[in-house]
Amino acid sequence: MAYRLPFGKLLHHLTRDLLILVYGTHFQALDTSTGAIIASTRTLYSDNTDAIPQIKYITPTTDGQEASIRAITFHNKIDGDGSLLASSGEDKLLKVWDIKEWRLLNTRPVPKRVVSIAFSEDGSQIVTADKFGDVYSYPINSTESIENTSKLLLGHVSMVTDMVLTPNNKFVITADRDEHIRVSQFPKGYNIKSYCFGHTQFLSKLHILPWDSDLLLSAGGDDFIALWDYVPGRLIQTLDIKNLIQNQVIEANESNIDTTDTVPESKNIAVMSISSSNVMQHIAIIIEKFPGVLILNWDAEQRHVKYMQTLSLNANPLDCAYDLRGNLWVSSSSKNGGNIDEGLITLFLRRDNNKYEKASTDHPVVYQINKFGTMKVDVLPDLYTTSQLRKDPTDWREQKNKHEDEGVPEEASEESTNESVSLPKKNARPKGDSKRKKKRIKTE
Amino acid sequence: MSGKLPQKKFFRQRAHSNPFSDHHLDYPKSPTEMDWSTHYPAFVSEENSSELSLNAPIKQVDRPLMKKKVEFADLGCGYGGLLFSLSTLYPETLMLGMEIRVKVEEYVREKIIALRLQHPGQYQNISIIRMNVMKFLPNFFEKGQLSKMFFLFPDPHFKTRKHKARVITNQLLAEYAYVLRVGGIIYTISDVKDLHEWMVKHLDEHPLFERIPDEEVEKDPIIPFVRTDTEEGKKVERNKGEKFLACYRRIMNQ
Repeated sequence: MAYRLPFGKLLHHLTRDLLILVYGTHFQALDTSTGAIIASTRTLYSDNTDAIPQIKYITPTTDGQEASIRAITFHNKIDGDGSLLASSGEDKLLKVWDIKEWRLLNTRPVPKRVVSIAFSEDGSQIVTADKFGDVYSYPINSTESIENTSKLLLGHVSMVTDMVLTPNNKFVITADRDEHIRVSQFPKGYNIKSYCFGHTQFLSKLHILPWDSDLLLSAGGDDFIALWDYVPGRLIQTLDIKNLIQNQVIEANESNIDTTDTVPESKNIAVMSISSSNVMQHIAIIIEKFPGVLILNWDAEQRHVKYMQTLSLNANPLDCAYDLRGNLWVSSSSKNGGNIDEGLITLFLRRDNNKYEKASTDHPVVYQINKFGTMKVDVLPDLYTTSQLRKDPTDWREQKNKHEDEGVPEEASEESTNESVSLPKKNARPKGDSKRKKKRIKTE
Repeated sequence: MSGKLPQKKFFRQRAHSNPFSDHHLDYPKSPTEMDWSTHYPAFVSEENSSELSLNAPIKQVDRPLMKKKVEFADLGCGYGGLLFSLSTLYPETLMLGMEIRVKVEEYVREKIIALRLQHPGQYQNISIIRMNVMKFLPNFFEKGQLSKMFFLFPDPHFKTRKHKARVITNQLLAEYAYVLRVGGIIYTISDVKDLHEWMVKHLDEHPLFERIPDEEVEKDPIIPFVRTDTEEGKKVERNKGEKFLACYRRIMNQ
């Protein structure tokens, strides 16, 4: 059976009608005012019934999904027209693209898999955060070898899951799997300004509010999202989102809609994406395996976020992005696992009175991308990796008892409480590190 | 409880632990949520603490107010030799040992309990927590709370690939600089020259620390205890090995 690979990441430009849609190791660029595909790193999808639109093909055009893009960002200048895009993926390469001429400017190797990228405001530096917990900066144009140009800014012992640079470039904020949000001076990352304490589960997303850039939203495996005044590390608000989606699951059940394969099976939630629009000061939140998008609005007087509504979908969303008009673009994996005929992109058009209206599938702005977007694959990759960041909640004492029952030496069981299956035997050469590290990356 | 001292031989555990794995640890969400009253019952304040949490957006559990905050931290304290010596030397200073190995932590805890019973009024200022300091140090201490941090005979993690597992790294020094007040001191000692040089290199490079000259270090009354009062220190002594000491002061951000 063939599937169409869904778009795993969406990224909209801050000042241009330009949406980047990532699928596997490739991406496509869409003009969000006309719906025309502008550029693609791979030939367009076609079922041979329609004429393929003329677009700019960006090299490289190699196939393969081993090197899925995991992080992508624009150089968004506040007062101008940024023309750079940076991406990195499973291949541990950092690529910089020119989005005026649609070409690859340079490629360089990075030490570990990158989870988040940011440009410094002046466009001279690229900052990356990787799975090993380290944050590096690189000069954009470099002919020297990597050892001479990369600079270690800061690092966590825990896995870093997201990173943002503040708009004034005074701070770099990092979030990790061990519930920490760290605010460090930029570029002097050795000077920690504050921590934002309050999360009790892994973090997956950080989002600075564009209309109040002293404030940060954070989310992950907790039942709530949190709003912070990040410079002093002060918690302003928590908003329970688990309750919100559970209420809707009940409503859906009452109206006899079959939600059995879409409602998160566990009691736990994991936030996959946060996006915001300056136009109406709305925030969109995507939760893993929840077939809808939560929309929050902004109470400027109280400096609080408030729940507004849920936009329902027929399938589980993967990412979302607002365009310059305040329309919301949502990518999803289709309900029956990527059936060729289903739409990949759903567009919610902004209407008056804070309302959204789902655009029909033949709406000209989404027609082309749904028709010719992405590619055909035989096997779908795992699209839901956020919840894998959750730590094993079993108490170490229970695990220890379990190990004792199984006759595993105690000292080994204490060292790796989470990996009861593959524990080395006593006196055996501990192959621990590499194995463990691999395992760690796999679950990220 | 008889106050009988625990015997080390029942609390042996191999010297290594992987700081990257998910140990099941009990740590507070933030320093303000830490309940120190069970650790230092003699230092609990009589005042009420409830008015403190009025402005907090999440309702906080009332913690008994403490008369003092922890000021000395022995990171990877092992069998706690330094804590026991410093406890009577600075009876009014709260000190905390942190150790990742379960059995070693149990030993120190039992020894503290026994010593408190044997010597009423003494050893009230020391305690121990089983913790991975490389991950959760900022959960326990506020910015600038500590005046002394001890890294005595840390795990050398010899292989290059494992260097990030060392307790002194560029990255972690930022966290230590955060919890250590300006003027506070980091004490490092090792019998492994290579590790000593590594620690010196990274502390030298870090803009928030400056080395304390040897002659000044020797005047510090704590130094003899740093040299001889830990389990590792004694072992090196027995084997007539060399010990390499380096102390650094936390300085202002320029």
